[in-house]
Amino acid sequence: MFADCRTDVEKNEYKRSGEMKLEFDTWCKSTHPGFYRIQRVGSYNDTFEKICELIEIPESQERFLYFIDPRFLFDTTRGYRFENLTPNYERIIEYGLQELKYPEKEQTNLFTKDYNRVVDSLILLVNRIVLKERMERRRTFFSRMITNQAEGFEEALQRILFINQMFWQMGHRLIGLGRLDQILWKLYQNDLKNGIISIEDAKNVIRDFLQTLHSYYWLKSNVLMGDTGQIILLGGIDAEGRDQSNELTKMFIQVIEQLHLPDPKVLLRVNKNTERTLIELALQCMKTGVGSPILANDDVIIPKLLKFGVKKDDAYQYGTSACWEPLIPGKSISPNNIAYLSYPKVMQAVWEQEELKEVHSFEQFMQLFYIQLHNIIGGIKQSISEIRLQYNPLLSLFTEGCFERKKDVSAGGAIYSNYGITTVGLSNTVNALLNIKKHVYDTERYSLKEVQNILADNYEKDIYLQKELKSETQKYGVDDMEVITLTNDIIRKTTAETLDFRNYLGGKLKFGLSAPSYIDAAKDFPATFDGRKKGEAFGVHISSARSEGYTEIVNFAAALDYNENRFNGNVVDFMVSPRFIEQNYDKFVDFLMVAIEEGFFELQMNVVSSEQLIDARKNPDLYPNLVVRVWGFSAYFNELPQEYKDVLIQRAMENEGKTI
Amino acid sequence: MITNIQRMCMNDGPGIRTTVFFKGCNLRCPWCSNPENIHFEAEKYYIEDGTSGVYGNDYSETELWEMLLKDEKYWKNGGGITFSGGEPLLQLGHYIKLLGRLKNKRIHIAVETAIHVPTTYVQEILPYIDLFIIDVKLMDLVECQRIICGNVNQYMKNIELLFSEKKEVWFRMPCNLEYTMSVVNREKIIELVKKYPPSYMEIFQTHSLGRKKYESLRLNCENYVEIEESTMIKWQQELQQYIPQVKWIKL
Repeated sequence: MFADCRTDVEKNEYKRSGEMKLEFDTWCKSTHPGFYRIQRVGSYNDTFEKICELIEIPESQERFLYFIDPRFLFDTTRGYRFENLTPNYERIIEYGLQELKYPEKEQTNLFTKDYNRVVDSLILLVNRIVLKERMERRRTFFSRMITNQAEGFEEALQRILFINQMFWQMGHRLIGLGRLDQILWKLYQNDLKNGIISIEDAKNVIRDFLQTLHSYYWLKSNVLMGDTGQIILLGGIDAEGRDQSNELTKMFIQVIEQLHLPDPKVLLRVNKNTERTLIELALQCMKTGVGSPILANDDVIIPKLLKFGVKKDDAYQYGTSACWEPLIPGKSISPNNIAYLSYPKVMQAVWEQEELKEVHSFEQFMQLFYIQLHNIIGGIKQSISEIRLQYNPLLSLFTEGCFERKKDVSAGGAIYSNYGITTVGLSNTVNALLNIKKHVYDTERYSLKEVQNILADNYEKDIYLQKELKSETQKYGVDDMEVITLTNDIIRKTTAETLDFRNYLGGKLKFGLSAPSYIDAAKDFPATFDGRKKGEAFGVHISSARSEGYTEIVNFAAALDYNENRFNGNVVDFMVSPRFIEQNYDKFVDFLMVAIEEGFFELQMNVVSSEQLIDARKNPDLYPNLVVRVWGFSAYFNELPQEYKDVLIQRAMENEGKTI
Repeated sequence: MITNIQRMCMNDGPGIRTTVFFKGCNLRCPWCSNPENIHFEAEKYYIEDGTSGVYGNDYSETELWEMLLKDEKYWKNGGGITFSGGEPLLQLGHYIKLLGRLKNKRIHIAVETAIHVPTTYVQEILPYIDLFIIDVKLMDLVECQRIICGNVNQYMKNIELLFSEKKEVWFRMPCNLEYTMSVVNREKIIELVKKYPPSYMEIFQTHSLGRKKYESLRLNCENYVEIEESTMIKWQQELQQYIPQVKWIKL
C-alpha cells in the first residue's frame, strides 16, 4: 500500500498550519521535487496510457489493493473538470473490461476509438497488477476483471476501489461511491448462501474497504482537510414505494460508527415508513459525533426530481453529489456546485441604488431587491454558460448514456447534464428584510438612509441595536407564516430567474439552500441588517440560532417550497449536545420519525458540546480524534482553520442556551 | 403572565412536550432554577453585554392556542402540553376555556406544580389535567414554612385529593445536601411515597443552573455542594422499593 512519504514532522507542520489543501501542491513541489501533477502530453488518451504504464504498483499485505501515485496525478486545473459525482461502478461489476469496449464495426467516431483506448489502458494496468500480484486471491480478482463480471462481494468491492482510485489518479475530486447496499446486495446474498462469507466476514470486508478509502485522506481532501466527498449512499424506496434497505445498509452504518472516521461518510435515504430500528441505528452513529449519516427524505426529494423531468426509474435511484445535491449516480455528470449565489450580495446591490431615494414602502423595497436579484443571477448565468467541460473518455466509460450515444460526457453523452448552484446567506437576508419592514416601514424608527449609515458604520455607534436585531424572535428558521412566505417568495423569484437557463449541453439549472461558502463568502463582507457585523460568518444552511429550535426548524424547513428547480440540496443543520440525545434517546427517535413525516428535505446533526469544543480549541493534543461536521462533510476538529472552529463553538453555545 | 413557551421539551412529562412557563410563584425555594418566574409582574433583565429585555408577556387565548398547537404532530407517542412555572396552579384557573378546548382535542395535559395552593384551585382544573408532576421538597411543617414559605398541611391535603380522585401522579425531587437530602427529610419522604406511591419519580441535583438568569436579574445565586454519585444512587434505590420507576435526571 502506498504510504504518505512525508515525515511526521512535515505532516504535523502541514496539519498545524491549518492551511488548505490547494497549497498541498506547492508544498509537494518545494519539498519533494519528485511530486508533480502530470501535464497532458499530447492527447487525453496518450496521457492516460502513460499513467497506466508508469504508476507504481505497491506491494500490499492489506485485503484490498488501492493506490494513488502522487507523482503522476493528472493535471486537471485547466478548464472545468468533472468532480463532485459518482461514477457508474455497476458497469465494472457486471462486466469485464473487454466487454465494455465497442466492437470493431461500432467504432464509428473519434470518441468510440478514444473510449476503447481508455479501456485498453486500464487493461494494461490490470495486467501489470496481475503480473506483480503475489496474493493468489487478488490475482484472480484482477485477471477476472479483464474478461468477466465480478463473482463475489469482496471482488466487487475491489473493483469499485480500482475504478475509484483511477478517478483520483486522473485528478478528479470529490468522488462518491454510490448506493453500495443496493449494488452489492445480490453478490452478498449469493456469497452468504454459498457459504463463501459469513455476516462477520462481511463486516470485516466493509471495515477494510472503508479504511482503504480513508487511507489517502490527506491527498483527497479538497478545500479543507476532510472534504473528500467520499459519500456512500444507503437505503431508499423503489418505484413501488418499497423500502430497499437491507442487512448491508445496517452493516455499513454500524461499521462507520465503530471506526469513528470522519471519512468516508454516509447518506441514508429515509421515508415515512422507514423502520424505527434503522433510524435508531442511524442515531447511534450520529450520536458518536461522527456527523454521519446525513438523512435524505425520499418522500420529499423524489417527487421534486420527477417534476423536474428525471425519469421515474432514475428518480428512485437518486443519490447526491459529495455533500447533498441530489443527482442520479452513474447517469448524471451534473456539476452541482458550479457557482454560488450570495443573497447578501443582492441586498448590498440594493443599498447602492440611486432609486432607493424613491422607495417609500416595503413593497417598493422588495421590487428593487428583485431587480438586483435579476441582475446578479444574470451575471452568474452569463459566466456559467461559458463553461466547457473537459473531454473525458474515462468518465464516459463509467457514465450511463455515453456508450449508447457514442458521445463523450463533455459533449452530452450522459443521461443528465444539468448544472446546479448553491446559495448562501438567505437567512441573513430574510432577517434583514424583516427588520427593514419592521423598523423602517412598520414602526418608522429609522429611515433607509439611517439604516445605510448604521451598516456602513458597522454598528459601532449602535451596539444595542445590533444585539436587538440579533435577538429578534421572528426570524429565518421560525415556523411563522410571515417568515415562511417571505422566504418562499425569494426562492420562487430565484427560480423565475434561473428556470430558463440552458447550458451548452441543453441541461437546466437548479439551486439549493445549503452552501459551503458561509464563511468564505462572508469574509470582509459589510455588515447586514440582521445584526451581523462585517466579516462575521453567514448563517449555516437551514439552521436556527435558538436552543429550542428542533421542531421549529423542521416545521419551517418542511414549509419551504422545493418544487421546480429548488432541490439542489436543502439541509437542515442541527447542533445537539451528546447529553441531550443520551438522556432522551427514545424521544429523540420519535422526533426524527415525525420530522421525516413532517417533511424535511435533508437533515444533518453535529453532536458536540460547546464545553468539549472550547477545550479542544485550547488543548488540541487532548482531542486527536474529535470529529465534527463542517458543511457536507466531517473533519477532525484539530485540522480546521480557526474561523471554522469559532463558528462551531458559537453555534454549540447558542444551541445550549449559553448565549442570550 | 407567561415568561416562555418552550417547544420540544423532553423532561416535562411523557413524550415530546410544549411547556408553558407561568410567571409567579408562592414559594421561595433557595435553589430555584427559574428565578424569573418568582414574581408575578413583568421584570426587566440585564445581560452582561449591556443588552436588556423583559421577562413576562401576556398572551391572548387565541395566541396561546396557536403557539401551543404548533408541535401537535410530534405528540404521537404520548406527548402533549405541560404547564409549569412558577406555580401554574395559581393562574391556570383563568384558562379553563382553553383547557376545555385542548381536552376536546384529546391533547395530553400535564402540570408541574409544587401544589402548595388552596384545594379549590386544584379542584377547578382537576377534570382537564391528565398528569400531575408534583415537587417533593421539604416535608417538615416548620422547616417548609421557614425555608420555602410552603404549607405542608395544604400540600398533603391536595395530594390526598389527587390520589382519592385516582389521578396519575409523578413526583419530582430537587436534591441538595443543604436542604432536601437531610436524614430527617428523607425519612419523611419515604413515609410520603409509602402512603402515596406515584407511578414514577425523578430525582435531580440542584445546580447553579439558573446562574445566568440570577445575574440578569441582579440577584445572588447560591452554590450547592456536589452530591456524591453513590449517595444519589443509594437514594434512588431506596425510593425504588416503593415506586415502580425512579430516574436520576442528570442536568
